[in-house]
Amino acid sequence: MIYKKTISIMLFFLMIMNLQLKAQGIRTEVSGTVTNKYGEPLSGAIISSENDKGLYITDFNGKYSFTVEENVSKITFALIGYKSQTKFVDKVIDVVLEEDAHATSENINFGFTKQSRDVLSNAVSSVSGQTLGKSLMSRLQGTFSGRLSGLTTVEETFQPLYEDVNMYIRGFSTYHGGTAGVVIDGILYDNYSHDVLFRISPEEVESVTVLKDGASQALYGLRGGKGLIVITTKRGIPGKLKVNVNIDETIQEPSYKPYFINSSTYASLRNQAAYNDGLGKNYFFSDEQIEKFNSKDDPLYPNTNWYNMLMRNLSHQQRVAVDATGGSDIVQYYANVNMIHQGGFWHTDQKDYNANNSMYRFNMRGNIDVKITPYLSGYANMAGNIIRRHDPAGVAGSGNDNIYSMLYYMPSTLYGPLTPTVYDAEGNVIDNGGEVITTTKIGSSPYGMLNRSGYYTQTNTNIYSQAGLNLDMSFVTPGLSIGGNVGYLSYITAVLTTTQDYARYTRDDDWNSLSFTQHGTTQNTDLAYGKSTALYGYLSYKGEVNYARNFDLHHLKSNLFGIYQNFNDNTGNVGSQYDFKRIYSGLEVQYDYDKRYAVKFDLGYSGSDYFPSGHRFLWTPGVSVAWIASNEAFVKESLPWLSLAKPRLSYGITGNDDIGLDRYGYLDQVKTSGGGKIGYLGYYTNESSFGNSSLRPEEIKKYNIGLDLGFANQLTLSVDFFKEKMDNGVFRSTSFIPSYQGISLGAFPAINFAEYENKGYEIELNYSKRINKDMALRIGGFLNYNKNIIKNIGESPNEDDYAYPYRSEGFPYGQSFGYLVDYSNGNGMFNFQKEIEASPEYSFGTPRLGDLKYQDLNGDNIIDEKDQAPIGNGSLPRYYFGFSGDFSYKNWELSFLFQGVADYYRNFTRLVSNESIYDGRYSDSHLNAWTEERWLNDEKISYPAISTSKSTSSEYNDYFNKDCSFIRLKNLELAYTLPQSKALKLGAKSIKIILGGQNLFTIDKLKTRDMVVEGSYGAFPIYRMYRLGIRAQF
Amino acid sequence: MKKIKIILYLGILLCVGNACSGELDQAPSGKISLEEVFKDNEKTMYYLNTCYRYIPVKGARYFFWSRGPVCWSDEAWDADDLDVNWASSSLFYNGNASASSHPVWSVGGEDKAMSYWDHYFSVIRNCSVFLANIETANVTNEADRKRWTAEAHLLRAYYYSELLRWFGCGLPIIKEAYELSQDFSEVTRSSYYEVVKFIIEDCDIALANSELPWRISTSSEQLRVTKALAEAIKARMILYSASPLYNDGENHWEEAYSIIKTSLANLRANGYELYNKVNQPSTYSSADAFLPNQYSQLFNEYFCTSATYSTTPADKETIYQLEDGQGDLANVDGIGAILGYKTGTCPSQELVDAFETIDGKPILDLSKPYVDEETHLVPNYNTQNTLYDPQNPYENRDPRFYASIYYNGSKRKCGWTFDETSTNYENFPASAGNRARVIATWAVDENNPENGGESRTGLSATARNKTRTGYYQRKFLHPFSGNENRLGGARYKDFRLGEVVLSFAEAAAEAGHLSEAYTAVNEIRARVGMPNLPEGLSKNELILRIHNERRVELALEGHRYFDVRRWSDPSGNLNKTDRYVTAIYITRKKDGTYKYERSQVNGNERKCYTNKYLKAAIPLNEVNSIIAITGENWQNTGW
Repeated sequence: MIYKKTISIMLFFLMIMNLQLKAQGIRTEVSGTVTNKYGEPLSGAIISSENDKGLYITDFNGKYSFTVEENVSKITFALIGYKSQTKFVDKVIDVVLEEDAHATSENINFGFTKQSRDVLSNAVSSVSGQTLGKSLMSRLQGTFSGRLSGLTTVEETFQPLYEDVNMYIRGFSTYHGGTAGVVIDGILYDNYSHDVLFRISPEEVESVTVLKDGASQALYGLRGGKGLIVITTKRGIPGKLKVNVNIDETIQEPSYKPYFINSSTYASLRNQAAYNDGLGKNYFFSDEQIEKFNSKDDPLYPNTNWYNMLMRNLSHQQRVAVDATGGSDIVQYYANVNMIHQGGFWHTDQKDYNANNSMYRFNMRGNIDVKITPYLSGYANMAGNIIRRHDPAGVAGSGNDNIYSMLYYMPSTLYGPLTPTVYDAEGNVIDNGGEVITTTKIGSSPYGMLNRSGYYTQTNTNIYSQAGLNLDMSFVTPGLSIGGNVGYLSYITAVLTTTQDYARYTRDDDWNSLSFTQHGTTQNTDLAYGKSTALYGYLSYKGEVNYARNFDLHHLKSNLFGIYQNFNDNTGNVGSQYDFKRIYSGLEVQYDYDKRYAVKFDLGYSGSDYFPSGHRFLWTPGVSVAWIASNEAFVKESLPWLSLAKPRLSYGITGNDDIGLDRYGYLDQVKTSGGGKIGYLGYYTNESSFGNSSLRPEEIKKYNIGLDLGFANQLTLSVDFFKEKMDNGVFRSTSFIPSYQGISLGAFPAINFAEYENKGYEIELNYSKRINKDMALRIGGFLNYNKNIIKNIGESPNEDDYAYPYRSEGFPYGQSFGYLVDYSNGNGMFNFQKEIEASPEYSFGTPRLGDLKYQDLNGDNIIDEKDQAPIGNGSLPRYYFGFSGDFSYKNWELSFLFQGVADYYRNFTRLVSNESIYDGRYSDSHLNAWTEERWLNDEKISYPAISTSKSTSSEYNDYFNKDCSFIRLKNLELAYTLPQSKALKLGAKSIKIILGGQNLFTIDKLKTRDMVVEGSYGAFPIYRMYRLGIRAQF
Repeated sequence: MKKIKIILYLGILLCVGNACSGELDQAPSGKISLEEVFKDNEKTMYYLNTCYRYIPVKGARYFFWSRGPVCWSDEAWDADDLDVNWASSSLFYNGNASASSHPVWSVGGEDKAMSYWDHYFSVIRNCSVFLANIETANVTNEADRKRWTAEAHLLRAYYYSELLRWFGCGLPIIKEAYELSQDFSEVTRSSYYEVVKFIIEDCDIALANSELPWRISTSSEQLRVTKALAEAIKARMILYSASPLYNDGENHWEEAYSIIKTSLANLRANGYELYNKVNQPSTYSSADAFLPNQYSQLFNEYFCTSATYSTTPADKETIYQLEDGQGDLANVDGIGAILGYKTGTCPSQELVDAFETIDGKPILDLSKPYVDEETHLVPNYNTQNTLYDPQNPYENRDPRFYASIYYNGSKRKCGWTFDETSTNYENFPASAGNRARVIATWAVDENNPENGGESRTGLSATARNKTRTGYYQRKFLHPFSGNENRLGGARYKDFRLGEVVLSFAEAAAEAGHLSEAYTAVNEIRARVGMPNLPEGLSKNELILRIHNERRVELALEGHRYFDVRRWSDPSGNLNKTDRYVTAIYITRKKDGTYKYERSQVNGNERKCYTNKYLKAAIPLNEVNSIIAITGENWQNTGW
């Protein structure tokens, strides 16, 4: 409420001020050309006055022409990749810009504020939208991998249309886990940030900045702790209308195909599993039957490849994007229309509907800047999109993975997918067949899920709008301005689910005939329709005061702001019935002296309704300093090759209110509800949790020390070390509370006491050189390292006879525990009976020959949970790196991006448990499973003995803990720009043809296709993509 | 100029920092505090209902539709041992139970390891919170206040009794709910006996209350606790506390004798009596029920019928029956499951051996029933018994045997979905449908050795819906329940007068009041037409007979698991009872007669016989917390 008032007061103020303005002074016409040292015109160079006011941008031919006001004496020419130059105002100014490998004139957008890179004292990394556009991923977050130092991306799922990437800045800043916050054009979106990003195309994006250190996150207060990804969309450029058209056709294919075993191998493995379990040699299949499967010519003994039957090898993705920009001194606009279609991988044969996946996304954006009066300017951003996704029914969201994994549970010995038509001796149809075949153990066949279960259509509509005003108050004092904005984002999902069921048939036991019996009671039903909707919305108001002024060599810039944000969620999530409300405010002062000594001071003051009145608000100060030694005269003289030398230091406090509690965790939750045991007594009272009335936001103290070095204006090196500490983490410290006191430990009040630490470093190296007029190259990369430790969550240790009494404290977030395999006999398995007899007893079953031999760590001669040891090192890779390069020669450009991780382990013990689910799941790993014969013959054994039921090898163990380090050619692009004359003939200013590839190959240490370095085990694999694209500019 | 700036800055800061903080207050969230609960009559009543929320589930409602302690004792073998190998029975049999992989859980408590300890203590806290507030609560009717107070006391006693039975160890006595700030390092636990005294104290408060009824007479009030329950809890728990496992070397038998004597007298004085006649002859006395005499008929009827809520119920024996029926017994429990899902409880040969012959003589020598006391393969027959024929073992037995167990050759009428061919000459060659057939639990048919003859009801080592032991449970199965006519079982009777009578007999004998013990046990025998115990037994002989009577009378009701434990010395184990459980291995010979042999079920020992299995493990996290707080290890021995 108060914000609405504030804004109306401001508007009123602005109007009064405008009325009182005096006539303007005398203006000077300035024009000229901006070129590089090869005489090539530079378009897009920004020409600005002393006080950082953007005035003009050079056109396609590097030319500019505009008027400057009376009191302006100097103007600055800046362009990314070049050193900026400042000139005295004159009628004609022609400028030759010098290349700058260190990008010192780049303007870094912190979301709420901006700063030029040359005086930057924080740890941030950034990338342009243009670079991200090289990636073929349909989601914006999919394009970040390997592009931003300090950002670890984990590709969680590759389900068609639902691909998702989790983003972690410097790993985990809290032991609650959680991913980074997202800021778009100065507005923070943290709830559903994945969704919000999904709906922005790289074409719309000007730049992406990652805020890594505490001082740069301080203004975000209690939502700054997990780090922020700041997205800035493109804005209009004054000048003639410029239109870019991008057209892409992309082919996608799974990057690998797990091995699908044939029916005779399946039958042999199934027999082997039964044999290992003591059920005899031919428990499931006789040798003759296996022989018949092997001969492959007997229709009664099929070899069904369910993967090939139901999966397509390729699918398509098409994209068309058009953007237009232009404008005058008064109005500038940027408009974008983007359409993408992505096809699915399923092979369906339902005539009435097609449940195969597809996705259409249409988004558009219009960003308009208007100079209403010489002192008052405004802007409006309007963006919207519609996404329509189509899927098999009942599997929306995660279910495509379910169908996919079921493919591998379908035995290849099973006839299918449908019962055959049966004829009598005269050739008359007795039975039409066409019923879905499954087994008695498998409830739903993937064929049935795809073709007989209905479909699902989801339509998301999203509107994003933002408008603001800015009043130049230099009539009060030069450099002062005030502004405000209102932002609104709404999101609506409408879901249509059609469902049907189908009869299941199983093949009869007799292998000599092809007869089927109905299994279960389900029948073929007609489609039933269901609809649902969900929506959420953000509302955000902001008011701010800016003061920026240079006094000789003193450069001062400051910003004071307040934001009120309300997030309204009707998606039905827990706690979503209550609006989420937050207030952010802050002050930032940037100061530098002669671009040699820079200091930035930030102070955030923010509050959240997660905490009780009186403990809601948190001060988050941050300070950072830099010494730009390379700007010192003595350095310039004595070390001319040292083109950049800048030590940096920062400290900041950030907060976190995402503490894993229900809404209003500070309140008791006592509710009366129906369902009491005694009907006569009516309802019952449920105390679901107890609140802590002095709960406070978590504070994370973040230290950063960094150094930027540049050599000969070609090589740039940046190194940052960081440490993050939290000592008031919110946790239910119930390990010192016995259950017998009666309050469920999950309902016990949480308190602020937990301690956590995260540290690491980033190294970034970049080499850039324009070799001659025709040839340029850039090559660079970064490496992130981070390691965290949970220091104190009040864990009560297990007894002393546990090999590892603590299971969380002293370990990183997400540490797993399991059994260590004893490799003293070579292969870590029981190879003969005597070994089993000599082994300690297992508390979870009796090991068989070929089962894993676990270490008795505590020496009590029993293998039980007391012997469990840490396995792996937490849930995130310790090292994460990206490595990219661009080469251009005349009209040709080649660019590549490698991305990878190291010191990263994933556990695949699930392979063993999955062997005994349904009718068994076998793949190439199982071909090398232990058998006595293989052992006696000294053949390769890389898997324990298989089983038809849960074996002792299926306990979580380190045999299946695999090094999942990898390096992947994420992106490769070859582009050819048509000579300008040819382009002009075709009516365009420039035309570029692009051949691109995504995820072309991966080098890893896994030697089987059963396991994957990322994504979920048994789920859709990462895609490989090939693109043919055209970029035309008009 | 400066002034303007300062005013502007201040204005925004004020607005953001102070004025706007009210913007963050939550709207009424629909949540209330405990004080508000007790300001309101209805909400106070709701809170009493909260005190009822962990009334135990028993009978066939242990996870996963299992009879729980019945299957974990020597009474029966669970045919789910292979299919649900992660659940309770398998954890017991394989010895895989641990303090963090707790085997004891119920259908309503899927959070496994924690359910019993956590749930009962949490609801004990609810009772204490209720009792702390009820006196000052805004209750409109004073009679309600009194009755509710009595109920909360009694419920607390009930929950404590369940904790004692399972965990068998001393517990903290919590009369008042702890504050959140409680320092738990100061809390100590009381001995088993002291907790029992506390239970009795709570029961006595309930008994002294004028508004608590002796019997619930309207079905809308079903499950509400009564004075009768208070007496029954007292009787059960004082008997337990006097038993060797829990008595800490003290002799409480005289006290137990006098408490149970009073309870029994009070129960009888208030209309409780043994169930002694057939009330539904059209079902239980019909030829199709295949119950040989009125005694077996009334005994079977009692367990297959829920007690009704009335001032003059037909069933005056039941003191407290639980909420849930026994479920679809035809599908998940017993013989009916041949056509359904799982058989579950398969009564053991040991249980069958416990049924006397009709002349009142034990079959085995009760002091040493088996030659090898562990393996049970060679019976040590009672030389006095002349009626028992090991090759015709099911003739002339206690009527309760025919009401409780299906054996090879017993008959049952219900819908059978399969045809019997002419080769099944032992049975009634007939087609599918509602008809009688002979239960054939043989393992081998010499006429048809390949697949054991037709034998749809035969012995199997692996099938989930066949017997592991050669017997099926009959006690709770309605005579006509079948696939076509699925009758949910009757409600499980957690407390009945029969148990109290037997507890009295035991305590009286132990305390040396032998003639009163005789009278009590003979009352139980007379109800089913069994002759009185012979006169002149020594105290130890009498106790053996009373233990055996308890085993037979309360068979499959979940008592045996606790009885063999409480009878054990704290340093003892269950080697003689629970280690090896036997099946009857029947061969149908070519001449149509049978050969009966004893064999171990699945050839394996059970591992749940060792000393630690006398008491359930306290959940690991709880023990760890307590060690961290007090340095004291509360864990039961061996876990």
